[in-house]
Amino acid sequence: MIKMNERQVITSTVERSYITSLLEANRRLDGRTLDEYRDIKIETGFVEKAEGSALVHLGNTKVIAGVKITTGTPYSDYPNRGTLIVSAELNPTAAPHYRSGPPSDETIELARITDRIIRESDCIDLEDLCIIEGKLVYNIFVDIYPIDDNGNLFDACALAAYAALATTNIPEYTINEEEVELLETKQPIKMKNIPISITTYKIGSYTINDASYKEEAASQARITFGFTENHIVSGQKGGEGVFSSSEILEIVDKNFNKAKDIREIVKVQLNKH
Amino acid sequence: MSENEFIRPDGRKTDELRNIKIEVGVLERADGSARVELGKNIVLASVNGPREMHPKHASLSQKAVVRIAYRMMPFSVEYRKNPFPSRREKEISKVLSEAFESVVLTKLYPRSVVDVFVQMIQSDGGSRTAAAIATSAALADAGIPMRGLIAGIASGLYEDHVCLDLSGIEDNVGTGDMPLLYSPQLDEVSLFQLDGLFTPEQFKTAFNKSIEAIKIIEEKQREALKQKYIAIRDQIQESDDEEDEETDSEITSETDSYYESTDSSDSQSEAANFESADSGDSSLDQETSSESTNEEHSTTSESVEPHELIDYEVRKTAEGTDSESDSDSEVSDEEEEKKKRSSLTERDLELQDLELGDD
Repeated sequence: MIKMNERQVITSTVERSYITSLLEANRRLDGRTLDEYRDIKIETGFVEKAEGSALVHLGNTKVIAGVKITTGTPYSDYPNRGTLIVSAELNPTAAPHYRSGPPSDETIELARITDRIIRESDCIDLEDLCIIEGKLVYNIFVDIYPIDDNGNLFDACALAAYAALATTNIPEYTINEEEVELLETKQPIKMKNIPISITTYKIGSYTINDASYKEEAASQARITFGFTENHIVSGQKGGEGVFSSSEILEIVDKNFNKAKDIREIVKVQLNKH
Repeated sequence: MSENEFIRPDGRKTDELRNIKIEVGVLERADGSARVELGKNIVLASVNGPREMHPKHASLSQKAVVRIAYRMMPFSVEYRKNPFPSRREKEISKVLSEAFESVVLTKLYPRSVVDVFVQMIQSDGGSRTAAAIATSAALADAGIPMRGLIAGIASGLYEDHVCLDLSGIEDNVGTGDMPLLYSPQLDEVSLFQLDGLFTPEQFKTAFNKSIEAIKIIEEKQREALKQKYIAIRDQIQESDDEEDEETDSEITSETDSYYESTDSSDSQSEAANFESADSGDSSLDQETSSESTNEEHSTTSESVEPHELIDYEVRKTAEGTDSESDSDSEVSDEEEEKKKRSSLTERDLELQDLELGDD
C-alpha cells in the first residue's frame, strides 16, 4: 500500500483482493482496460483575476491550477531568464484525510514532480521572460489545487499546470528612462511543447494506468514519467513496492505512446476555447 | 428619489444584488459540498464530519466543534496572495466558525469535529458572505443537523450611498462595509462586522436592506438543495422507463443484496455523483471508452461478459460511472428508489409546484 499520510485511505482486504481478481480477468472496477485513461476534460480561463487558469477533469478527479505573474530580479547565475515556480497544496477539499497546515511530504512530492515536468520539458522559454537583463524579469507562479481526489493526482496536476500556463496572458510593458511600467494589455504566452505525465501503478504483478483512488490504495508502487514529443523529461518512482528492470523498460515504451494519445486529447480540449 | 437613480460602477442600482449561483454536491469525496458564485466571487466549500477531532485535546466533552477554515487561492485576487494563511483569513475563519456553531446541533456529537474547508477560487468583495452561503449549503448537503440555514450579504457605503452587496471596486474606494449573516427562519444574526463611517440613518437602511436580501438568498440555497434531489428523482424516472424495456433485471437484484451487506457507504457519494458536472457527458464518455477498448483490447471485451462483474464494480466505486452509465442507472435504481420512498415522496407534490427558474 502506498503511504499517503498517517490517515490514509483505508481499503478492506476484500476490496483489494477483488481489485486483483478483476485484473486477472483483464478488467477494472470501472470497466476500463488496464492502460485506459478516464475521460479528460479541460476548462480554462474561468478565473478572471488570474493570468491563466484551468480546471482539469480526469474522470472524477478534479484539479484547479492558476497562474499569477509578478516582476522581480533574476537569479544571479541566470541574469537573462525569468523564473517559474510550481507549487501545489493538498487540503481537505480534495479528500477527507488531507490536513490543512504545513505541507506534508506527500504534497511536497506532488508539487516537485509537477514542477519538474513543466520545467524540464522547456515548454516555456524562460529567456522570453526577461525584461532587462540582470535587473528585471517576469516571475511566473503556478499554484495547483486538487479539489476532488479520485486518484492519479500526478497526471491530473501536470495537465492542469500545463493547461493553465498554455492559456496564460503576460502583461506587456513599456520602458521610460529605466522605469518599467506594466500595461493593461496582455500577450498570450509562447509554449514550445506539450509535456504529458503518465503514471503507472503496480498492483500485485499487474500494472495499470490512471488508477482510481481505490486502486491507488491497493497498489504497492507507482512510477511517473513526463514525456514531450520526443523526449522523456522526468521520472519518479513511489511506494514500497518495486519494479523489475524489464518492467520499467516496458512501461516507458508503452507510456511514451500513451502520452501521444493524451497529447492529442489535450490539443483538442484546449483548442475548443 | 436620488437613491433610486444612483447607478453603481457595474451598472447596478443601490439595492440590486449581483448574480448568485448556488450548486450543492459538487465534490465526490467530501461528505457535503457547495459551489457558490456571487458576482465574480467563486467559492468552493467542503464538509467532512462529524468525525474524530484531531488534535484530540481540541475536542469538547459535551459537544462537537465546528471548525471552518477560510482560505484564498493565490490566484484569487489581483496580486499573488501568499498561500500561507494570513491574519485576515484566520479572523474570518474564526467568526465563521462561531456563526455556524450557533445553528449546528453540536450537542448531538460530543468530542467530535465538523470540518469545513472553504476556498475562494476568485475573490471580489463580500467574499466572507459568499463563503458563508457556500458553507451553509454544504453543511445541509452533508446532512449535518442544523436549526436553520444561514445566509449573508455585505452592504456598505459607496460615494455616500447605501449599497447592497458591494463589489471589489466599491469595497476598495467605499467608506463603509458591513457583512452580515442571518437566519431568516430563526431571526438570528450570527455574524456582524462593520467598518467605516455610517450615520445611524445609513446603518438602519443598510441593515434592513441586508435582511431582505438575505431572505432571497436563503430561498436560493433551498432551491439548490432541492435541485439535487430533483436531479436524483429525474434519474430514477429515466431509469424506470429504461427498465421497462430491460428483461434481465433479476441478476441485478441478486447482486444488489450482496453489495448492500458488504459496502453501503458509497451510496451517499453515488447520489452526489448524479448531479456532478460530468454526468451530462455520458454519451461522449461511452464513445471514447468503447473506441479504445476496441483498438487495444479487442480480445478481452468479448470474453469477460458476466453481468455480475460490471454490476458489482459500479456499486463498489463511485468513480467511472460514466462509462457504464447504462448499467449504472439501472443498478443504482434500487437504492435510489428506497431513498425516494423515504424522503422524496412527501416532497413530490411540493416539488411539482416549485418554480425551477434559474437566475
